[in-house]
Amino acid sequence: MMRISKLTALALVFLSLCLTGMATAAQTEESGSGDRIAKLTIGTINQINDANPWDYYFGVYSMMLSHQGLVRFNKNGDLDPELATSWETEDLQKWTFHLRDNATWHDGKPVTAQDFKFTVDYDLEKDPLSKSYIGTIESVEAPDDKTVIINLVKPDYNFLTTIAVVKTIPEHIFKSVDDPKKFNDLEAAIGCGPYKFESFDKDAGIVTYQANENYWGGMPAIDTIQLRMFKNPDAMMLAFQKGEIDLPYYYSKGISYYYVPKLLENDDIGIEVYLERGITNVLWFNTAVSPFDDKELRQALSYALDYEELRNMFTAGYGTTPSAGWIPDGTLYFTETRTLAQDLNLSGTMLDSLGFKDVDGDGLREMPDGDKFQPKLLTRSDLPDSVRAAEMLKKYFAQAGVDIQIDLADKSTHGEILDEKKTHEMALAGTTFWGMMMGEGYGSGYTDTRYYGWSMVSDPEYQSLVDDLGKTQDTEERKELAAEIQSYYAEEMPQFAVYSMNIIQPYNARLEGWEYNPLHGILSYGTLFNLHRA
Amino acid sequence: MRGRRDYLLGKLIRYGFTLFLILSLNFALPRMMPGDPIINLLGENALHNDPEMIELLRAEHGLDQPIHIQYIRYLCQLTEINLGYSIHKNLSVVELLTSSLFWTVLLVFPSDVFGSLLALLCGSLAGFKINSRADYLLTAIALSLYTCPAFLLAMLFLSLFAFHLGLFPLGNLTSGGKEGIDYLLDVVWHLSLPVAALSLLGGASKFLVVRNSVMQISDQQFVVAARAKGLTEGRILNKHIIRNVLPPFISMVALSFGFMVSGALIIEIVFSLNGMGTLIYDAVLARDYPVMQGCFFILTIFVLFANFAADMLYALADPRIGRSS
Repeated sequence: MMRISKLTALALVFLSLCLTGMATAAQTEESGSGDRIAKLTIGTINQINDANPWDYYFGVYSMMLSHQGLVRFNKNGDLDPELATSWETEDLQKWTFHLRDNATWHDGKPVTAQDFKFTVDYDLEKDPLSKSYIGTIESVEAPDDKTVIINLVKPDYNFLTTIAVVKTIPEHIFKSVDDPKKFNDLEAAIGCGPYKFESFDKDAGIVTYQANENYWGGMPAIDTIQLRMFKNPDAMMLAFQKGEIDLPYYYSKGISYYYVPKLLENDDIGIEVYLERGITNVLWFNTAVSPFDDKELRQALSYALDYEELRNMFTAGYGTTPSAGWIPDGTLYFTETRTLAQDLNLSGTMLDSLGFKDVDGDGLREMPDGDKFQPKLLTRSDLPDSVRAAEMLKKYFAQAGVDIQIDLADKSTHGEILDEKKTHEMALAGTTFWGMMMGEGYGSGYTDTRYYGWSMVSDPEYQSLVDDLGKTQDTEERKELAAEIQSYYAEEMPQFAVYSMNIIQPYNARLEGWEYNPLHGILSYGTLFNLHRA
Repeated sequence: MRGRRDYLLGKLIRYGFTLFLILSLNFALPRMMPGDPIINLLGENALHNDPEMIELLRAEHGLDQPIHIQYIRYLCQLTEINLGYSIHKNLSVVELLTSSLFWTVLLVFPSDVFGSLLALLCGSLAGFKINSRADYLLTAIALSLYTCPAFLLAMLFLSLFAFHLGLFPLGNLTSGGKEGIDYLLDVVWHLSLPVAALSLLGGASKFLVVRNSVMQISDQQFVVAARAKGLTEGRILNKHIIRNVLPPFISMVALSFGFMVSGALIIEIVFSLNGMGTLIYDAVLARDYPVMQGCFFILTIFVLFANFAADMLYALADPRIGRSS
């Protein structure tokens, strides 16, 4: 009898523990004063290690919430004024920016031109990564508190895109910091944006931001923003369905289509599908190595793929296949080029004419010199969809008589081969919106050997187009150049899209005013300033 | 007495040599893997940095030195318990290890204890009552759990107890913003599901070993003799059979304690916990040499210590071992 009562007592204690926990579980608070949102909880699987702007993901969220640059991408992918109210340039090499008068740091000190000059100089000195995007800055001048003059090493029309991702840091905080990566102090997170960093609870996986009441653009619509980190996307989606988070958020991509049917059953959940401005999977050829230096071979291979099947299999109807001109629809001055479609007969005829024939009768083609034709396809082993896509490509190429070998590599090795060694023959990898804007835009950053050069294009005709884009301001001329570069891709095919998944973004439908922008997704200023109860 | 001392000394020398060997391997293995931590850190930007800048980064992490200098420096740092600075996470390795190790021990230690006790109790019962209904039922449950992938069981727990019934949270170590006793209760509440899942998964494999050992020992002559003397079944099981099952059981438990610090990767990922499993996994993917070395160092120490403890406990559990050696 005594044992039974002890067990009962133990069970009661455990039950009360569960109930206490349930009662205190963090819930979204929508009701603020008036139409304001008291708290917005964002779920993410992006892992922040420390509240240090040099931590990759903390830096990403800082740029969205607490820090600002001179300009910012808007919902159309164009650039809006931010700390700079206006700018001018005559030769695309010397850029003058005029800063707004009322911007202040979160500690109350004014934001000055000297802060921006300090930021660029400091980044170039302390952060090796900065060289890749602001390495073309020769010098920065701050003739007065509100004027910034940036001198570039060469004219660059696309410079505003570059400078849009430079977050300004306060000189008065960082001038005495020798190693910013180790500066994990609360002060390190001081910015001048609409939200102030408040705390990072590592054990709870929660980063908290508070609205900045002194923000130059007025109070944002949400008082408190919490980022709640998950390591498991399924748990995050369960928390979303349960109402514990308002928004499942992945930086620069949406959720998997697997979750959509379940989410559609829930009236409190809304779903929007946005056009992806990067490309989820691209087949890259190393055009600097034989036989992939032959454009006809690249074209022949492009006819081997069943794009419709790939689109259905990997996007379940939520994706597209960009045309042969490679640039995604929605990009400024997008032009229609050949639609990518499977034509095995044409592929076979072209391969035959190039001398790639099945000599030994095993159903697979040999090289013109009689050697086996077994090109390697480099693929990331840690991305399940990439591995599956590589398997599908192997099947399609085998139908055309080409025996490709899948070369699986983890992220580190894949990066080493594609970015440094350039020993790949073919590779599967995706592009992002920001990546497509790099270099002189239109994917030149990925293509041109002077930038990332995944397809190793050093053709003077192509590089001349890229250079012209860099120094041309006239709208009509730029339109023509954009069309020419897309025609070049469609004809030369240094790379082509395999499929592209659109951004599936679910959200709490009890709130309205969500706005998407191609760089930061649904965590845009439009959302931060317009969100309200439905 | 002298036999015991020689036994202990012999073991110590052997463990010292093993430690040195493993520490050397810990240094060599990450460097033998393809991939470069600096290129990984810079990613696509590697090409667009001055080679000078890349070399500076290498120098910052001591990777510009000849390999034998790196090795000597690594050994010297180990003697000072200086494990360096993470290349990717911008935090000192000791800081990363301290936090991850604490939560891992809090997650895995109770799981190991509960799992082992459960295995000992149920395994003894099933083995002693072989071919009974209880044996069939327990063995069926244990086999189901043993063959169940960890992520599946963990997701089932999460879906059933956290999502549908709402009895537990959907992950993380705490809810945040709590102090004192509330904080402790909150941590217990958060760790209940992962500990339960891990206990069942660990207990299932041990159950089968205990059951089979008990079954084999139950047929031995001394058990028959005990029955003939008129001892009760409970006394035979507790005093004679379990005592003989203990050495292999101790060895198994000690090993699981040793590997405890490697964390429980799948459980940590499903329940969004910061532990050694995810720390090691991230470090391997990023080729973060200092973190990998630090984790493997701790792992080595724990495994060797657990083995050493098992050796000592062996001698206590079975006095014949000390005498024969």
